[in-house]
Amino acid sequence: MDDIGAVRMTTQMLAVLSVMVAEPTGEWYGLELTQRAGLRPGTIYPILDRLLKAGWLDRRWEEINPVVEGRPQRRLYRLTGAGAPAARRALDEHLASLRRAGSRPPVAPRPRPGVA
Amino acid sequence: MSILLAVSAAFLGLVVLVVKALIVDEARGRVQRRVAASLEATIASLPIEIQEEWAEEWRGELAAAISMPWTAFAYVRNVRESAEQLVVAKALELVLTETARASARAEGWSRQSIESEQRRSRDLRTGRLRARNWALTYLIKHRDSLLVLACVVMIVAAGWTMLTFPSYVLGTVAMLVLLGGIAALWSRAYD
Repeated sequence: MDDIGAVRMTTQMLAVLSVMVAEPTGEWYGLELTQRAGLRPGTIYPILDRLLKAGWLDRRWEEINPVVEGRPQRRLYRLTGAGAPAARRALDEHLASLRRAGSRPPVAPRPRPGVA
Repeated sequence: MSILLAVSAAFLGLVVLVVKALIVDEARGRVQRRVAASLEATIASLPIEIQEEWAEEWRGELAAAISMPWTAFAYVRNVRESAEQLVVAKALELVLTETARASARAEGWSRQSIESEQRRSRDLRTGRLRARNWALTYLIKHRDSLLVLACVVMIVAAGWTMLTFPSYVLGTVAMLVLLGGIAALWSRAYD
């Protein structure tokens, strides 16, 4: 079993994980993940940093010749063996908490003063 | 005579096209250089370890977005904020673990430098929040006066437009558009 750390979940992190969990063996570069997760460009790096440090992700440089391809190398991220189930669990827990919140009876509105 | 006119018009058209292309290319080049310089300044302000970890990736991703000026500007601005968070995360990591403390000392980080980096980042965020709050409070507090001022400016602009436009019809249309703007502003402010 790989060593994996806990990660504090945020909405943005859940958005990133949901993209990656949809294709657990896939590899993505930062801008692509940002666009798919619906984040603002350039905001994904602290999220990736936390996931990398916790062992949920690993990364590698794309093996291309930048001159031939006409673009710089991309750094590709993917879920680790332990990261994929952990991400799925985190998303399931989040969905379950949303369902619980949705099934609670709505709070009755307070009577307005002066209204019988 | 007509041939001469046609040739002159074609030549003039060509000159206009070339000048326009030059201006557009020049402006695009300047924007790209400015955006790239801004990213380099952000990278240069970071601790060497974070530079080594992220700089190449940021340069590559900016290169992919550089042809879209607004996206590139937003990217660089957001990378600056991300970099601040990465520095704070790194500093926290170094402070929190004993083994990391030793490596921090070896890398030239001291407790004072880490704390000052954390303080700097916190002050920066607090300062921004304070400025935003002040602006919002000012807007809410002086909403009536600001709206009246905006209306006066728009009415003066509308009148001036109506009087100075070559055609009164166009002037009237412009005035109606401005008055519509005032109405929209007013209805949104008191929604």
